[in-house]
Amino acid sequence: MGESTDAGTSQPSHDVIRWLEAGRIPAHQALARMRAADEQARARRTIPLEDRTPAAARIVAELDQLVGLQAVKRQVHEIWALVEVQRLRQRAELASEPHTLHMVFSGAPGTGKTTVARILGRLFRVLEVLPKGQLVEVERADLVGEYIGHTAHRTREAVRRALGGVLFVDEAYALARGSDKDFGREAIDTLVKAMEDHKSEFLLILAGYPQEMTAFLHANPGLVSRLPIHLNFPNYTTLELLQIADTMLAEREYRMTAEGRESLLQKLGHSIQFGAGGAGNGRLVRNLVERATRRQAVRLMRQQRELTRTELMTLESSDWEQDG
Amino acid sequence: MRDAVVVGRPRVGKTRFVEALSSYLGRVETSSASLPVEDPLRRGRRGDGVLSPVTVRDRRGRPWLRLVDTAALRDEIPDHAETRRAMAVSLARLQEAAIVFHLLDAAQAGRLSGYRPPLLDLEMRAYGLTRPLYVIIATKSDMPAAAEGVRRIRTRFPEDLLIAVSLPNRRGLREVRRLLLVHAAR
Repeated sequence: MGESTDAGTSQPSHDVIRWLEAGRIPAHQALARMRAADEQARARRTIPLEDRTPAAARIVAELDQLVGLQAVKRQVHEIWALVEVQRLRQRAELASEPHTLHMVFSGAPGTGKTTVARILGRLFRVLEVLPKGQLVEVERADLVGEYIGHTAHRTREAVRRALGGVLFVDEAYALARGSDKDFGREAIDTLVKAMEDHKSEFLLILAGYPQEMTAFLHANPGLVSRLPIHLNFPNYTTLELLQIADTMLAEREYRMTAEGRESLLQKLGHSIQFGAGGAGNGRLVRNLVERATRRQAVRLMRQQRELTRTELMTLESSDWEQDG
Repeated sequence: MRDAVVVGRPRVGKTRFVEALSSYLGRVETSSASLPVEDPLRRGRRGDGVLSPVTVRDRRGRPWLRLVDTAALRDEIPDHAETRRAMAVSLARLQEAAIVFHLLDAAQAGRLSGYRPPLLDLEMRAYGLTRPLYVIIATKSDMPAAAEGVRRIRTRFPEDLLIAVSLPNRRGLREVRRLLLVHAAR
């Protein structure tokens, strides 16, 4: 614009119109002052915080209740805030650009990647970023075919199922394995094309072990620019694993004696220190909990007497010990 | 229902534009609640000086647009209180409108040796651009020198929506109608 600015200080528009009527200012000045008044009124207009979607707050609270994952939670809060503020900016008639929300999840199996992906799908649905929010989980075997054209077809089909929601490609680095003739490359190209063709229609999450994902993305620079959000899922610490065990046991109405708790803590510390399979992830805890409940059942059955409610609930130190 | 307000300086053809467009759109009725505007400068020409909004209905009889004529805005401060009051009402209508048709006299723009829009038109445009839809209507485009006038206006405001209309042969009304159907139905 910039053609003319005679705005001066701004008064409410009705005052300006009254001045025009009283013959105090000419029409062009009245128009300039009305424009300034409107601009100031728009700038002052507040968008109530209650407009933040309550359903979104509930979903994010679920995420916050997960054990550990502090950096992931912080980033999801940032993404949530960004989406909410973009909506408020739209309502305030300010420029708001659609953000690319495709992501890379780096972390070992059992560190919460799928759980967080599912939560994000639901969060983006209530925020109206994604119309459906469903999670479609695939891996290399679901995308890569055996003959020419088969891979593109399978990958497009996976994208089609994920439209409106999240396409979660687990162990995505496996797509780049193999020789030049491997069809994994075709799957990557098809995914890149789908991101262009279906902008804002689905959310792509490529997940896998941190080192492998770094190498995979390094070898595919076209992907990096299209996946601006990187979430790192570190292995859980011993205390976090103990907290996960507490939660799992509480859900199943079990509890540990103090000695039992000590035994589990030692077992978890040992697993992490010696890098036992799945050390530092939630699946290790689930396996330990399931084994302990089986061992408790065997111990109780050997008692050959009536059992109290407390006995049925309690896991002792021996229940956590390794089999012979 | 959205308000489309027609604004402009004196003698650019506002009332004739509203009449022609109303007739072109069909299914219109003049609101019984006339605007309380008495413009003594119009009284001699129109007899009543009252500017009544026109309600446009769709095939099912539902109103979808209110077409609002306004009293002319003038560069100077008028001596007559009734004229100033009419201008005040025009600004109030402009403020409420979702659609602004700003009328510029294309024939006059073409006749002048160097076209420089008056300050009042620049301010009308600046304010109009704050509304959801702002359209320049280049009137009298059938008259001598109007083609040059349209070209000059377009050059001056290259990014604005501009429709050249000629009321005797109804040129441009179809484009106006199309715009209204898209924007007023929202």
